[in-house]
Formats: sequence, structure tokens, C-alpha cells
Amino acid sequence: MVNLVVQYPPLDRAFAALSDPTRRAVLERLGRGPATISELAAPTGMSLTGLKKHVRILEDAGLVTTEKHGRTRHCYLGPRGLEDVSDWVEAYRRTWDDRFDRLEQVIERKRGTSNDQ
Amino acid sequence: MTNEVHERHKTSITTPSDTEVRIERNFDAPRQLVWEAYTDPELLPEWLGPRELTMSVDRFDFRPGGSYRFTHRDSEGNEFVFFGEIREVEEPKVIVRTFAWEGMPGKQSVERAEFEELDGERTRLVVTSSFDSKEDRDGMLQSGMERGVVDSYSRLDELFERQQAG
Repeated sequence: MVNLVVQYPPLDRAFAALSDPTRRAVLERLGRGPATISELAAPTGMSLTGLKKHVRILEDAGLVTTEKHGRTRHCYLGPRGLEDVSDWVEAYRRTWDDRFDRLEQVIERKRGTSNDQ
Repeated sequence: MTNEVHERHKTSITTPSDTEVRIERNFDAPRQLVWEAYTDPELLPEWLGPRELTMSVDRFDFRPGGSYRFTHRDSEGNEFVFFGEIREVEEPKVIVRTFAWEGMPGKQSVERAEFEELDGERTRLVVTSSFDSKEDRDGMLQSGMERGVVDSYSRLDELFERQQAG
């Protein structure tokens, strides 16, 4: 099933990803804020493995991003937005992403200074 | 230089309602340190301003009721002035301030920054901006679009430079 989807150009892939009610529910949940795989699985009554497959399809379609923190995987909306509001929402996100990269450098430097004391 | 490999954190964006935008990012640092870096006026120009502009902090009276004013200048001398009022300061947890641009008189948003302690070594920063209307929000987001593209291009340039140097 996954292989079939992958042959489609990205936009079709997004539509294919959206054709499933579980995946739409996942997106709706992530629209209210990031969540872990188990938080996403809980309301669906689905196994973690089953839910991971759906998240993977959403990720391939660019609708969901995931990030591993130790043993848990956190899921976020994006980079592609649902209604292709994404172009400017994504640009705004990148602006903050870049800001926070630099803030991180400032923090690292401050940490270095306080350790030296 | 350090050989330590840091996992790069992702910045997520959501629109909890028609008039809000919420930005979220985790930092591998204690909350107090993130707070200090975020609120130090001397450090603001290093991270807050767009890369292609120079930023000066004209005023930063960091207390409830205090005001602030930043100027961004481009290489041709054009100035972009941002200002607002600090509404709430609850160290090291919450800052609420208004945010306005001189180029759009009468329009302002309210920006709430929350510092959430994940554990002693990690902090989640959530910045939620609230606008008077959906039109105001979308207009602000769209005006920042070009800037975002420029910023990401400059990041690419840096990457290329690093690759060439390596």
C-alpha cells in the first residue's frame, strides 16, 4: 500500500494520506498541538505499531514531522499545511526556526561562560 | 570547537484559532538559562532580528507596564521600527507583551512566551501571538514570508561555505 502511494507526486500523496479517517483524526489532533505516538493512539483504540504506520504515511506526504526524544516520538503538523496556507505559515515557521537556532547558540555560549566561573 | 553532536530541534507552528499563531521549540538547557538568553537586551540583536538587517535595541524597559522599541536597518539605510508594552513578567515562566510595527499604525498583536520546564536540562518555549482579527493575522504572516525565504537562503549559503571550508 505504501509503495503505491509513493509513486504519486507529492500533492497526490497528500490527498491519498488524507483519504483515511484515522489519519484525518491524527491531523485534527496535531492541529491542537504536538503529541506523542501513544497520545495519538489512545483515542483510536489502535496499537502503537498500527498508528505508527499511519504517521509514517502522513510523514511521507509532508503533512507530519516527527522527532525522537529518547524512547518517545513526538509528532507535529507540517511542513506542508493542510490547505496550502502552508506557503506563508511555513515561511513564518522558518523565520522562527532560524531565530531559535541563533537563540540556541546564545544559550550555549552563556552556558559555557557560567561553567567557566 | 567541540565535537559534540547536538540533535537539532524542530520548530513547530500551529494555528490554534483563526486569530492566533503558536510557535513551539525545545531547547537542551535549563529553564533559567533559556529565560536569561531570551530576555537579555544585549543579546537580542544576535538572534531576534532578521539576518540581513542590523538591529538596535532603542529601549527595553523589562517590567510590567514598561515599553520597548527596536529598530532594524537594512544596508540602504531603511529603518523598520517595532515597539510595544510589556504586560506581564513572571520569571522564569511567562512574558506577555504587545507587538506593533510603525509601518502598520493601529495594528498590534499580543505575544505570550511561555517557558516550560521539561526536566532540569530541557525547556519548551511556546510563543503564541494573538491578533485582533484573522485578516490581521494572515496579513502579518504574509508580510513575513519574504523574510523567511531570505533567512533560509542565507542559512543555505552558510551551509555551502562550511562544506567548502571542510
